[in-house]
Amino acid sequence: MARRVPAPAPASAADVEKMSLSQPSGWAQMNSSAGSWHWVNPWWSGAMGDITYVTATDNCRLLIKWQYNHSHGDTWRSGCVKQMMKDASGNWQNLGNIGSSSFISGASTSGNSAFGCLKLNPQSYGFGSSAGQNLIFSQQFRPERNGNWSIMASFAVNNESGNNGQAGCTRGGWSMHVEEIPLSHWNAQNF
Amino acid sequence: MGRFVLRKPAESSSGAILSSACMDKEKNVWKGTTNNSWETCYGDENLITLKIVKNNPLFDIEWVLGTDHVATWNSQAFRLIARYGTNSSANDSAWKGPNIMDQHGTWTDGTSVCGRSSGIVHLWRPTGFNLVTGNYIKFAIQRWGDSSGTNHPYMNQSTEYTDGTQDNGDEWQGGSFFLRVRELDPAFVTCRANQINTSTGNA
Repeated sequence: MARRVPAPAPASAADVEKMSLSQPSGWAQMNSSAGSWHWVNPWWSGAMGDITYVTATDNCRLLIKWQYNHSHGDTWRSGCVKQMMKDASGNWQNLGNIGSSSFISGASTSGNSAFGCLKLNPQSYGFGSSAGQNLIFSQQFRPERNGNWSIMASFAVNNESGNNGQAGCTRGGWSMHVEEIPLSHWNAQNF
Repeated sequence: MGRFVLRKPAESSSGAILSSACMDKEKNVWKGTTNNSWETCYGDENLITLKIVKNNPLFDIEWVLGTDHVATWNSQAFRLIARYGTNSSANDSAWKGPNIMDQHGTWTDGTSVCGRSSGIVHLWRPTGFNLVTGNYIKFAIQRWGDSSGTNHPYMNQSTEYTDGTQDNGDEWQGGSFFLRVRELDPAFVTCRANQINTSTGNA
């Protein structure tokens, strides 16, 4: 899931105005009580919670992308991650929810990843149209009530231990991305 | 999802990205009903329409699709279809299926769990269409359902411990029916071994 980097010069079709990324540096143990929502803030020293993004342009729209990976135990794992944003009145709003599951009886295998993407109009949540709007994002996760999560964002193919992944590979397992785009991208048609 | 596309330096009058449009179904959910046949998601035959900027263009296509889960298992495939023409209806041609695909399958032993959400990125250059500046092309996504007949969970929803064939409400929805199509100037795109999809067959 690569991302684009804004170029220094204008082009014929304006593309990305500004972007922001939040991503933790490694795995986490996230077996909180199953069957209920939990804020992501306490994990990774708050790397994913209450992230502020300040809009750069008037009347802008945003693309919000987020992803996560769950490791797999020897039974099954399931859960979901909800992308949240505070509205202009300071109340948290649910923007979207993605889920994942994996099942094998009696063998620890690799888990699964989930990826979400949505368009966001800050004005739909009470914000003004001018640049400089302060948006606050966070995430909630919910381990499924029977398939509770254990290790998240740790890539391994035959264990679920609390480590940095079998190949020392633990990056890319969780992130949130904000991409500010011109208004013209908002519509399904470009004419 | 997104792909790193360099744009042209400041002195240029054009760039790699000639146009861009994205579509998001927000909190709206939909579920298929057919088995062993293609069905247009949401019944929407116009997710995105682009007006062609430059002759013989290249399209950068990316999507995120999510499906919920039923108590046993589900299996389904998705494909992009496109149609083009000389006016904004973009319907002079038949529907074309350029073999741009994704698929979802989940299984648990009798428990309704969260589903799948995944994306694709793809470059497509339908040279056989002979598209020229001012033409229009529109895009839709179709779903192929498994033949078991009970295998039709909602899209753009992921719930836990609940039958995914039900509309389970706002809390579980959104974030997984998104499509972006950008017209690129091929002069600015390098593809290894020139392996760009040029399929133009009928859907």
